[in-house]
Amino acid sequence: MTVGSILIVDDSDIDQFILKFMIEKYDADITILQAYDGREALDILESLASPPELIFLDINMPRMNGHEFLKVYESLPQHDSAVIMLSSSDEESDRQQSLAYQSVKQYRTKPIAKADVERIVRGE
Amino acid sequence: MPSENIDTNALKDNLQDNAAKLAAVLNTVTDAIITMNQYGIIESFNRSAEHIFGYRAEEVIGENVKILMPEPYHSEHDGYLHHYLSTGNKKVIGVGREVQAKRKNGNVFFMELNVNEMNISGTTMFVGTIRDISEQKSAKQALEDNQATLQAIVDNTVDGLITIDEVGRVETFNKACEVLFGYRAADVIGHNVKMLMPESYHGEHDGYVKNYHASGTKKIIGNGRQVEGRKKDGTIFPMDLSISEVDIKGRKIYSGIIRDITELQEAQQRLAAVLDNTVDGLITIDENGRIEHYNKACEAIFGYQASEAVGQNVKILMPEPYHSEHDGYLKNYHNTGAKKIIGSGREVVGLRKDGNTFPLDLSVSEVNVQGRKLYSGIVRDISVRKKSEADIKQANSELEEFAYRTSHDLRSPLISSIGLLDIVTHYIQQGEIDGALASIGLIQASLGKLEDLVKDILTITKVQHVEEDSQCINVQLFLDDTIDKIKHMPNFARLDITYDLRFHGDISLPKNTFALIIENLLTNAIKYQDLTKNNSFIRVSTYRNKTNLVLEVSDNGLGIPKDQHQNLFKMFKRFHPKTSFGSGLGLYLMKKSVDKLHGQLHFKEIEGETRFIVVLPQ
Repeated sequence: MTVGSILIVDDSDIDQFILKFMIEKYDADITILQAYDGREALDILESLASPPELIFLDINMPRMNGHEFLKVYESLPQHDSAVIMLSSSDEESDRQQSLAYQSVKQYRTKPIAKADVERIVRGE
Repeated sequence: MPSENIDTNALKDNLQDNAAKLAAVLNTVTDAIITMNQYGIIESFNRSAEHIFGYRAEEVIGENVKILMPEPYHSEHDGYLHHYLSTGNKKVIGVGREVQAKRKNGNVFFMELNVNEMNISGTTMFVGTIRDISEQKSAKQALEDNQATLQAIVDNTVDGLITIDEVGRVETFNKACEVLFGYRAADVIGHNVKMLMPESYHGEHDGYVKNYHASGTKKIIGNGRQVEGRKKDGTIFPMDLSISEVDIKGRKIYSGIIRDITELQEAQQRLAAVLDNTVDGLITIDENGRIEHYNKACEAIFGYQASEAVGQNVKILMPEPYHSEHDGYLKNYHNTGAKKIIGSGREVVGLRKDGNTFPLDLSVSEVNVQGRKLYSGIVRDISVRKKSEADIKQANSELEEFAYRTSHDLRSPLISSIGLLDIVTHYIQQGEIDGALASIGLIQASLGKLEDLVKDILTITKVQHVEEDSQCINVQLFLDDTIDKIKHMPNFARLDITYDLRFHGDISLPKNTFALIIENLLTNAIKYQDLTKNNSFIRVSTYRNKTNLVLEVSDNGLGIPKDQHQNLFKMFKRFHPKTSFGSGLGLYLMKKSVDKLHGQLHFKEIEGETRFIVVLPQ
């Protein structure tokens, strides 16, 4: 799979920075889109001509958290992006709740290794 | 000698005629008549004798009379006879007496015996007239036995029994009475029964007796009632008395049955004391809902004194709609027997005298007292329990949220730092010092956030658990000090801070808690100022409202998104993540601090202005 753009939804500047760093090291041509909460992510998605292939989604965020985002996202006419949950929560309830969404392909807990990020981007 | 012969014959005929006549008489009398000679040998035995003893005359004639006697008389009779004949000392002769005799069938019976001595032609004979008195005797015995039994019963009844005559003199005083009153029967019998009553009854009793005789009006006769008795030692005790009138052959006597109810009364008093002092309220109502009993605990629960509540309809203790519906409930129960609440407990709402309602646990049971239906309700004010329940629930959910959030928020900066260290390594290996330094800067920021979070968590623990004494604080000086502490914050200088201190005197509050509130209000206003505006301001005002100190901090900063207002004072809520990475605990902490001072914290948004209002009781 060729990935043109990836949306990172995370309220932490640092986690944004780390993930962005890993992705750019793997393929500097990928466009990185950044949102700091679910609301902002929805705004960005709405403004795009073509949706990102991947969305890395955190759970605990102000305004609109990951779960709330997924609920709205899946009700949108277009919701084809593969969502990778990336949370520091290893609560089973968070995992279950997330994987119940059709768009959610994987549930990962932070920290995520560089190799794992690369595999995800490659679509493995 | 024919004449002689004739005379002799005539005499003989005459004699024979007389003997036959005599025998006929002897055989028709109801008494038994037995004759015997001086040796005790039976010579005649009439028909009644046959009937009484069961022997035929020919069976006994010629036999010793002792066969008609049981031992020891049987063996002794010959001796008696001999003794009499030799000394002339009469034991039984000429005197009627009751003796025992023996029938042919061996039964022994009482008879009345009269013995007379006859002398016929120089021969001594004895005539015994016998009447069987066994039936008489056993009737008398039965009467005596009956009396003894009755006496035993009277003596042994647990209840006291006294009988008096028409003028009040005691005739019977049983053993139970002796124990009860401490008098011997002999001390009381023949005396006026008043001696067993306290002085106060004396006059009354004479009146009763007189009145009853004169008018036939019964005051106590036929009914039991509780009166007081007086013991020999002067002790007055409560007793149950029931009197009945007995007519014996035209003579009236009155019998009284007495029961000492000292213990019963004490038990009642103890019970009443227990009921009065139970923590639970106890209310008894009649069939119409009228309060009959209302204990001390109820006074505390409902605010009405017993004197105010007793006699009122119980619905005064209920708020609407129960107030209006209660009469209907009672009526419905009487008519249909359908129980709604009787026999089961439930939670209901009570109404205090001051008009406040409160949750209470109520259990109602139905009691039948002497044919009267009563309902007794046990009530327990559970408002404290309810409040505690709610508090515990709140604390629990906060704790859960807290555990979840801290595990996330504590881990996040650590995980980030670990990730960043990889990046630093990478940069160093590539010789890209600037990249490495930038990443190290991020690690520092990340760990700094962790430090802030841990500090806030510690503060929460302190706010919730550390007691702090009030001290005198000058409002104006305190505000100045706080501003001094925070003026190093970024963008402080571009703010226009104005004061409207209508109150600037001294207050008495726990200093650290108050400081936490003020610092939070001011640092928030500084952190979340709207940098796009060029007239950013903070306005601080203070004033007194009744006994409260009111502190208002207004600003024209970023404000709080409308849909987040309900989350304002919850844990871990951040509303401007890009502007500042707080722990999300600031407003929560402030709210807890205000709560601790029993104050109120309000938030208002008016025309682009954000205003926090703190009301602290003084």
